[in-house]
Amino acid sequence: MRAPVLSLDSKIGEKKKGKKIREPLKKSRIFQCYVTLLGKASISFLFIFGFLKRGQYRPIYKLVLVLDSAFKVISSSFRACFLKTKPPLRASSSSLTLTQFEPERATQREREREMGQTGALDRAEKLRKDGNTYFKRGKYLAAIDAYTEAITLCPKVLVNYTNRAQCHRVLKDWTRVEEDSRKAIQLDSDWVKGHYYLGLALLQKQEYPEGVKELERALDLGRVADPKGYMVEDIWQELAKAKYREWEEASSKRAWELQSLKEACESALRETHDAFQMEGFLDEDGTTHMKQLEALGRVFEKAAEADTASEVPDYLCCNISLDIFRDPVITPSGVTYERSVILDHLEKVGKFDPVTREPVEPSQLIPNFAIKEAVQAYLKEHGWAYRTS
Amino acid sequence: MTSSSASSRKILSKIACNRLQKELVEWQVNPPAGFKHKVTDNLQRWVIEVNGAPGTLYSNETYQLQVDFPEHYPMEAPQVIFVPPAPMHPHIYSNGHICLDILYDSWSPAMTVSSICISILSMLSSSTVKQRPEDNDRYVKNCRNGRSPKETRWWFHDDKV
Repeated sequence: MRAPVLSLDSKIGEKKKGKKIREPLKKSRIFQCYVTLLGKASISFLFIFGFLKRGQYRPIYKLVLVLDSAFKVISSSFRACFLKTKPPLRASSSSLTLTQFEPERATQREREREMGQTGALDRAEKLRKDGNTYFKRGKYLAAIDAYTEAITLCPKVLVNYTNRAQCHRVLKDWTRVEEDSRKAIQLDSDWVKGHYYLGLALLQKQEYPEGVKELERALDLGRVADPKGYMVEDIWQELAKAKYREWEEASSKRAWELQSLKEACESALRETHDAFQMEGFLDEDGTTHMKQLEALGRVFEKAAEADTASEVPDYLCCNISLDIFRDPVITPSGVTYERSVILDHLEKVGKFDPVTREPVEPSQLIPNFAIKEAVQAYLKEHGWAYRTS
Repeated sequence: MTSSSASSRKILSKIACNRLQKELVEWQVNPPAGFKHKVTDNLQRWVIEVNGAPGTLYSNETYQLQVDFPEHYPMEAPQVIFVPPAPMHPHIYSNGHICLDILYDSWSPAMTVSSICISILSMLSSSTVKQRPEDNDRYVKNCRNGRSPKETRWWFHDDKV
């Protein structure tokens, strides 16, 4: 009985998309109760034949839907009895997924049937949504409870881990952030948010190199997923902050070392000068000594140059943002731009190269690895360039 | 003053702010010849002094440009007008509006305030007559309620001047 039912509903579903389907579904729910309660499927079949004879397909479709969902309700409540879990909270959930997530529906149904826990998945999903609502309202503890419950029901749904980690992050409970993000990464090693939160937690624990490594991984993965997304920007901000802090620490140490070395050199020069004078080797009015001191000053100035904040060279900056490159791409004209910025331009201003005005399509942008490496090398030597406004 | 209504403008986006700060630093280090910008704490409106280039019709004359930046600069062109009295020029209306394609249809985010200034100065320098555009009176009358030149549908008929 099921096979023709499914094929019919998908055929008509394709013809009448979206909203139009939902209306008959509402009416059908009233029918559904009758049909389920009375169990008079045979009567409906008589109806179907009647309609078929008269060539009226729409009522048949309705009836078929009724039978389909009635069957689902009955079977899921049977399953629920055996598993001792509640039946799905939203009776119409299966028919809603049917219209909203057309491509996913087959696999989802299969998975549900395989695992035999429609109820658990549905409830976990509802709990996750509740958690998100709590989070938006600033009720972080309530959100944590909701996610925890969802995790107990379905420990393999990784979104709940990173969502919970996000709550812990707001509450500054970094040990828990680390735990949750590690679990998420265990389930999927390419999960951007997992690496992002793990990186943040590690940085808080002063585990600097590991933290930076996680953030860099998150950045790479995030760029693949959505180069213009807010996540990539957020991750970059955190990464730049960490790098800048590292530079501040290291450079102040270097500056202190240089300063004390300079003082030692100066006093050594003075001593030799004084010793010569005592022995009567007078140089002409001390000019040599002054020149030596000046030269020493220049040497130390040069040594501190890389640590002195100034301007990043133009060839490492995007022509539009005027900022140092992060994810540089080159156009067919040979001009390099920051990826998110040129994409924004192609979308909002026009499909042309901003400098040469040659036509450009987003698909023609190619990563410029040489410039990217040059930027990495520059930033390694000039950590102050990580400064974000 | 015929300056367009500034009250309705939105504040600059973060990207616009970043970029304008960088342009400002660059301007201070390396300003275009013939221009002076008195730096104020208002990043969104720059008032720039223009000196007519020597050897042209406008030498020894000084004018003021007013540059207003939109929220999504540089993805959107800034609004550039002369503060009246505007120079007498076949492409400059008496209310200060400038008929220059890069300020409207041909804007590109790779252009900067500095490059706009240079374009405007070269437009002045290449002029051979000091006169208003033919449709000056009609246009200025149409703009009386403080309309922005960016709302005008421009016809760039002449690219010689």
